[in-house]
Amino acid sequence: MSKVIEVKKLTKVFKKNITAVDGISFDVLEHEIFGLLGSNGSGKSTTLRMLATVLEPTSGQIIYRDADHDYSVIRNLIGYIPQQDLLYDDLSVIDNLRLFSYSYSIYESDRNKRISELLSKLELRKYRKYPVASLSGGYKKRLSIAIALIHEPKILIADEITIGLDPDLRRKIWDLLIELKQDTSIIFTTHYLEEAEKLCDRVTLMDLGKMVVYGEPKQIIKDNNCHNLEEVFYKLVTNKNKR
Amino acid sequence: MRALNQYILFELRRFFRNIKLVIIFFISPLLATAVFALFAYQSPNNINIALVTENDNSLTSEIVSKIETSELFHIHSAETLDQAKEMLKKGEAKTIVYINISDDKGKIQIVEDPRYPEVQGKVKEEVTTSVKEILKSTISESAKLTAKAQYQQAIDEKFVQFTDDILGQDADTPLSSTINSELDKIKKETVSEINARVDEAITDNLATSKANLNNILESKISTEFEEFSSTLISALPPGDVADSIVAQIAAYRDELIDEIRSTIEGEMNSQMDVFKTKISDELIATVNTKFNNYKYRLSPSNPDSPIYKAIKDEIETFKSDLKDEEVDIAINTEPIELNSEEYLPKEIKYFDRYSSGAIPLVIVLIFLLKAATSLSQDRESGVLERLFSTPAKRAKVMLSKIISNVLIGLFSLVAIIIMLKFGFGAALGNWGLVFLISFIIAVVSVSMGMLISVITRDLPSSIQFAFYTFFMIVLTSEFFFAKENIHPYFSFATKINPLTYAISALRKVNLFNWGFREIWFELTIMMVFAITYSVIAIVLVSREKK
Repeated sequence: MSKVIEVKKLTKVFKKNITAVDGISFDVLEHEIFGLLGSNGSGKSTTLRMLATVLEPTSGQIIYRDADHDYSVIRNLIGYIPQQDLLYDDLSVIDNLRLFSYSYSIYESDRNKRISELLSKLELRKYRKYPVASLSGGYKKRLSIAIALIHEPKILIADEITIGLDPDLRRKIWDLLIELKQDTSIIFTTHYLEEAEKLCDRVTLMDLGKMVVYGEPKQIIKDNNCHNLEEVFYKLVTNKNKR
Repeated sequence: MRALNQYILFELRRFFRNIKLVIIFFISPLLATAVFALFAYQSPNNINIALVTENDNSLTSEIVSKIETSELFHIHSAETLDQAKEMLKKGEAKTIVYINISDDKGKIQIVEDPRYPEVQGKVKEEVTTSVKEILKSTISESAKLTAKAQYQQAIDEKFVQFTDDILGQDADTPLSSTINSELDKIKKETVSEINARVDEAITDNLATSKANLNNILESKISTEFEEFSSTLISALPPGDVADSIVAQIAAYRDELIDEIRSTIEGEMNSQMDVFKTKISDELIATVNTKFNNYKYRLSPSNPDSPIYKAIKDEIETFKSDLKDEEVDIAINTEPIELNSEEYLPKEIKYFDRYSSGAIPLVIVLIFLLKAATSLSQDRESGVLERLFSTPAKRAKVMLSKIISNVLIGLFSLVAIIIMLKFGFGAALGNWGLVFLISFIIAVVSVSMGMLISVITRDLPSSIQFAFYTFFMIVLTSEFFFAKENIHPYFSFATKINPLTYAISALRKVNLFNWGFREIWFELTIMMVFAITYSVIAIVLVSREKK
């Protein structure tokens, strides 16, 4: 499998010299679900935002396959699901989809079909004319995912995609991610380590902006003589920080 | 282009879906305009003033009466200046008018409350005008009396001089000289006439007397000689002797007659010359006496002379007539007439002075605040970051926000202008130009708001910055303060303020009915502002890095 994203010594330093991401390097392969794991403030979301081109790296490189640093090409490749749902609350579900659809290079003939498909797939059809402000958190998340998928991206970047959702919806999202994986590379962050263990082909565990461990979940668990990723996390992050 | 249209459409849809925002956005400008129109509705009147009068006299009463009848004032009487100042402090009065006049002299002092500068000017102007009118009338009356007295005195003095000149007192006057000269002429002619007549009369009488005397004497002598001759002849014998004696006696007789004639001639002539001289001298002396008497009696300087009396009476009558004459004395208490007038081609109301400023002011307020919050609101909610994570061109997103905000405001813009015209009867010029200017300042305001939104990034900062920007551009727009009020180093601020140009253009159109030719400069400058702000905002957003 070829690399769709290659990250080299990626660093982000915010004002007052706060280093959020400190020289991390990894790559994301085609048809892979890649998990960025870590505690709050570990630099996961900052890394994702840099991958989604909404944040400029301070140093380092992100190389997207077939994009050649052209932001408009890169952004057409990427579907970004932010941690907060970041929707136009004053517009309806369908208007949000339409509005974002005009930002992408979608053929006019495909637009309505694509929107219709997403409304069905994410069970939003019933609420398509509802103002977003009136939707529950779950449906907002569905809409956020639908927006990210409107242009059929090659890379899906999802930040805490299942946080705050009920188990049923979480499962549905897992199923969706697995389905999407057939055509899309997915990078996502999560606090739910069992979720990462179940979904991700590879993960990296981040702490204080640095990568603590990087590889396939099973291999990481094995290498650290643990039973699951949660134990790995306690071993490599929590206990280390306690010390 | 399609994306831009859709962004605009969705921006409009977002706005119109928020009914609360729509109501606030459309009602507030109308309310603000209405408040503006109602609160700047009329020139100040019924101003509470504290009136203090120190003296009770006619001039004070007249001034007080004038002030009391003015609709501009609502009078509160105060006993003393200190009491009036207390009223000023408490806000019961906004100005003190202190009148201290005695013997038509004194002072009127206006103590102003600095909290109400608009009122100050009005009170000062009204009191000054009232007092000026009264003083003008008083001065005019007094000047008329003085002038009349002076006029009458001048008549008296002039007539004394005139009387002296005509009638004379010490020196000869032309009139007395003329009379004397004429009398002298008459006297001379009279004397000449007398002399001639005396001479003629005496000469005639002398000749007759001489002839009579000669005749009598000749007759007597002839008779005597006849008797003597007769006697002698009778005594003599006739003959030659007798004849010779008779002849001799006749010769003697003739000789005697000739002698007597000659003597009479000589004596009488001699006596007549003496007599003529005497008569003549007597007569001339009488004539001189008489004429001196006439001169005295006819002398204009002689108070007893009829001429003096007649002339004096005429002069007195004439003087009296002149003094009694109602002379219309025009007293020019205002030698230089000072008039001020507004150069306006049409009648305007008080509010019209402000309406041309109110339109752009309200437009800037609503468009600036709306635009200033639109981008930062989206930025704060995160949707902008999400939108910018798509291939959407930032310039298009910005442009769509500028255009949609202008379109949203258009309704308010039209509503404001219509309400001003039909609700408050504001004097508007060419409607097309009014809309054009309003539209351009709306575009400027939106672009300025967008720039603020780009710079400030978060909603509270945007609102704060937009509010202070609004405050600053209103203050520096020459709407409240003229350029001449501003510190010289900062008067340039009016030049870099688009609102200045909008107000200037609207005033030209609304107050002077001027056309495009007179406002193209302002429109161009405003458009330059709009383009500059928009370009800077778009460039800043496009280059924005995180």
